[in-house]
Amino acid sequence: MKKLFSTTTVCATVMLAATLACLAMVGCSDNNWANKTPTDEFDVSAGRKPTAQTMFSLARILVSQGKDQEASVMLDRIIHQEPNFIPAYCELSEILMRQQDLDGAAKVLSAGLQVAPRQSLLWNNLGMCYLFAQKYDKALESFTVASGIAPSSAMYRSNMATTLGMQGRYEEAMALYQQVLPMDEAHYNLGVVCQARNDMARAKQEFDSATAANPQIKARLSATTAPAAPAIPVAARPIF
Amino acid sequence: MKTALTLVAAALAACLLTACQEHPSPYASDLDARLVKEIESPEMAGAVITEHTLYPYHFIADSSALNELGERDMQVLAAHFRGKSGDLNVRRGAASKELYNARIAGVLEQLRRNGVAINRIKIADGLPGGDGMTSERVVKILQLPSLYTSDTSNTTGNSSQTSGSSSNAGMTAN
Repeated sequence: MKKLFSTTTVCATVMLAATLACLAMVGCSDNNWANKTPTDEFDVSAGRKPTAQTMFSLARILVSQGKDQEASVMLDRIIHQEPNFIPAYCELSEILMRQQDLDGAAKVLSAGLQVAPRQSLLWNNLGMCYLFAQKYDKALESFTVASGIAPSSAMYRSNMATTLGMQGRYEEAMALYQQVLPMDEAHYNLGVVCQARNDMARAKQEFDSATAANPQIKARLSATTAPAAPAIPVAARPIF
Repeated sequence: MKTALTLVAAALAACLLTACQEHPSPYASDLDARLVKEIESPEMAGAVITEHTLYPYHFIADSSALNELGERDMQVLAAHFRGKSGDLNVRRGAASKELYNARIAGVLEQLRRNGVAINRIKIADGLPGGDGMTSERVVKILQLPSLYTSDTSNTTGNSSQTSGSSSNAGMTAN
């Protein structure tokens, strides 16, 4: 049988491949590798900065401990070090919203959108800032962009519905609620929005429709008698 | 022969290189995967088809152009109407007569662009709206393309109306 490759040629090829691989690996290794002579596992990562993921995990722990101020500093540091790390913008804006600093939260989210303009989550959360600030036109704009980017998201459409309802655009609000909720829940949600607008006549109408579609809703209504339940938490909670 | 060996060497090197590539942030990839799943979700498309209505929120404010959500929902509706007949409502809301007419013309163009034959589309008077809304128009998509309608070169103007004037160009929102 004829020999396909000579031994010399095969050896030369393998050596060439190995050399290429070594050269390429040098390109993606740490720049100051030559200066390091790690002696054990702990020394390997001793000089490295914590990653964004590590700092983010720490920030979330701080948040869970109620240490919002320390978490904010940590998140701010992440954003400056790694502007592409999107979760930091969401977490920081949530803290600011809890502190009633809606403008600050909107600024953080807008900065995130400069980096990642197609992140629907950031648009949705920006919409929440505007919604809480009662800037309904801007809120609708933000939720609409979020829904356009992720058109199958029930959350974004539900938030759109709440905003439209708060603008008095009940028909459109109902249409959107119906896309994402059963009929009784859609009427109930719109009723809550009407209550929030002090449109009690329309609220009663919607609650009656909800009860007609599902008598069990009545129990919920009697459990949450006046004052009006907040409109947002029913079906339109922000994703953070 | 040498070419084959060179290729083998390059392939080996490439395989080794992948081992030291940096992987994207898992959080970002999770987000992307979720978004893809959302876009492919058939439930929302079903809800859009059930309503078969375009609302003012589908349009850019004070404009006849659809926004991104409007474009997406329009694609769902057009895909549905490519194979089926039915009505497509375009709600007027607070739009002026001129703006509303421009929006309907835009919707017809979108349907045509998305593959619905123009000779299957007709404009009809819709029911008078509630909540003080004026009567509106309905875009009707017929089941079978008619081979005997007038020429199809005039797109929006060709869309005859089942009631009212015979030309879409003179369409008015009451």
